[in-house]
Amino acid sequence: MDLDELLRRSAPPSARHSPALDRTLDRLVVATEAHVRAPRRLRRFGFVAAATTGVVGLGTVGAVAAGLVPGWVPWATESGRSCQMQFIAQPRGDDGEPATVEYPAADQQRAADEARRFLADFDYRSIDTSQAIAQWQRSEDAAIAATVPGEQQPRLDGADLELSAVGRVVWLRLQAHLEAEGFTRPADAVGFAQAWRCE
Amino acid sequence: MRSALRSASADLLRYFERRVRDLEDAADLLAETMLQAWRRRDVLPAEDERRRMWLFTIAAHVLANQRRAVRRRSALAEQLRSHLQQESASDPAEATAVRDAVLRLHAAQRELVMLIHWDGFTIVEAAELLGLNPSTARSRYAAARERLSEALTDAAAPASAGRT
Repeated sequence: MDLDELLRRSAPPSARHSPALDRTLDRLVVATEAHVRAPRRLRRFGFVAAATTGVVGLGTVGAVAAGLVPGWVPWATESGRSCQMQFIAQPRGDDGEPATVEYPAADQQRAADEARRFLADFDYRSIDTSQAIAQWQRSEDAAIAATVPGEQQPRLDGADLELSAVGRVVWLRLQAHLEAEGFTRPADAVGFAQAWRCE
Repeated sequence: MRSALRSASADLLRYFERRVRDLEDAADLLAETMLQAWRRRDVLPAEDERRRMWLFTIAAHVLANQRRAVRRRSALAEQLRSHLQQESASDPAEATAVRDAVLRLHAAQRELVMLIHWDGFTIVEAAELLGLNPSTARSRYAAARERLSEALTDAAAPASAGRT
């Protein structure tokens, strides 16, 4: 056997190529996109409420994310579309935010761990979709009214609207839970993002 | 960007798997590479092959930074990490002697050989990734091959002698 072939065969073992690995890699591509695009979209919308809640809608690009919460949450929209959502909670420091006196890295991690437990057990059916949409649209109206004309973002509609609204409710309830667990101002400790895909 | 990452992701994963001690670290490094690529998407090259080189350049920087600092687990890589725990292929015993010889090369030669023979880059591409001019890479590569041939011959000689 010549040297070239010996060298080719000497490569260390790696994960076997498989459809499952391809799917996982695809999810990672979109999850990283979601992770990076999320803050930009947040700024673009200029939602004051969203900036404090950290709810991020990624549905316009049909984002798919692989995050901390195992699996996806199936969701049928009011208009009958079949969607899946995923929520990602992680220490703010993982977003590049510096640790604060109030929330050093270890405390951020504890808060994020608690957030993940909450999301893993969360009953998504408990959300009143119509009410969630109405609340979202009120925030949206307020944000648009506060934005310089010409820089206003279009209103969400369809599945994007519904899933964004649901995500906002999830985040509000998560914050309430974390506060109840003793994490004051949880938005300073936990970064939260939502991604979804629809058929 | 998505298509560039999707087409290169398996190769990028292998690139990291071949350069880390803990296979699961490869998942975190790949996630970090993807994050950095997305953050720099405004300068993504237009041509497919340049995109691939661009991604591997980012990967090389991510790897170098990982070696200088304690790496944090990436939440984004969680699923891939668990996948690697389950899916690592077996390691053919016959490859280990050659690999050991590669790993004993001087670092500057070693990475060149790895890029060419394990990752499938041409000498010119490997030179670019290592920041070398092609002629330097060629002479370095020739020296590496010579060293490897000697090492493998030396390794084979005692075994042959033992059988006679």
